[in-house]
Amino acid sequence: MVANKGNPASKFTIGNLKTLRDDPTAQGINTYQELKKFHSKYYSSNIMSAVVLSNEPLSTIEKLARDKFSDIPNRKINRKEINNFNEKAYDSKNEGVLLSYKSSKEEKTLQIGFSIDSKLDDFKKKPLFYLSNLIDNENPHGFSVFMKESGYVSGLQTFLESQNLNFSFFVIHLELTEKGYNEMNDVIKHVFGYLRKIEKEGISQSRFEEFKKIFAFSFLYKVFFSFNFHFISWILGEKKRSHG
Amino acid sequence: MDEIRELSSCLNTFPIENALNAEYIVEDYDEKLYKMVISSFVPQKSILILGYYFFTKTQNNCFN
Repeated sequence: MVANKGNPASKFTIGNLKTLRDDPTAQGINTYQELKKFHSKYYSSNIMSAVVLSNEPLSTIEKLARDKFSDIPNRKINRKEINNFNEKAYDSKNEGVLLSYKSSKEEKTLQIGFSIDSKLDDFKKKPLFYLSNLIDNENPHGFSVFMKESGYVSGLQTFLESQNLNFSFFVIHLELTEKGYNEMNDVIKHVFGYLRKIEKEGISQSRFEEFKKIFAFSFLYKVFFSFNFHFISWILGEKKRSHG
Repeated sequence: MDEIRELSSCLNTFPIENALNAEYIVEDYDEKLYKMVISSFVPQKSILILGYYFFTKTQNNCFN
């Protein structure tokens, strides 16, 4: 919701009667017809991905895939073209700000977000996952443990909130303690101090190799123990990235 | 996993090539890229979002 209005990132991904019926009607727009137009233009096999998981024989799976998916037309949509918007999601107008909200549950959280150019094309290099691992790992001498032992946070995680062809949005999420909340400026200084430390001395091939092994093992673990919808969904996400 | 690749390669009408590489792909070390990304993580380019159940005071803008 912080994003610039000229970019879809500023909108909710769901609607209600006001946004889907009342507002469009007032502008002479028929939402249903617009949806049909969108579907007939963009429902195209060349920008879709499919992952099929089953314990059936491959021949059965293949038949199923052919039966279900072969009819989807290929409209040769240019993926980059449909992601070309009038305005960047984030720029100097909405960066460098502190936003506060009153949460509905009892919590004290601070999220530090960064919008950067999309890193989808760099999926083999995984820059954000690599940096994420440096920031929130539980190494006894690491930053996360330091912040906890200093009494600033009870938890620290990093994640990619959004990743699309327009931008990647990386978040450092801190569960603040009472001390962390009262001394929030110090918390922020420590975070940015650590980011500068990584920049100067934290990037190394040996760390990368270690990270690579951890994720290879993690993948194997998922393959053998997590054959379910979430696994398929995750693979699909990886595949979409590989296609850019 | 080879079987999955095999299935992928025979689906021509709906291309599922490389549908599942049997590894989590982290292949290319790129020091320059990592440094470029981390160097963009600066206060002026950040968006801070503070959530608190008991708001009693206005937080200072930490960039002042």
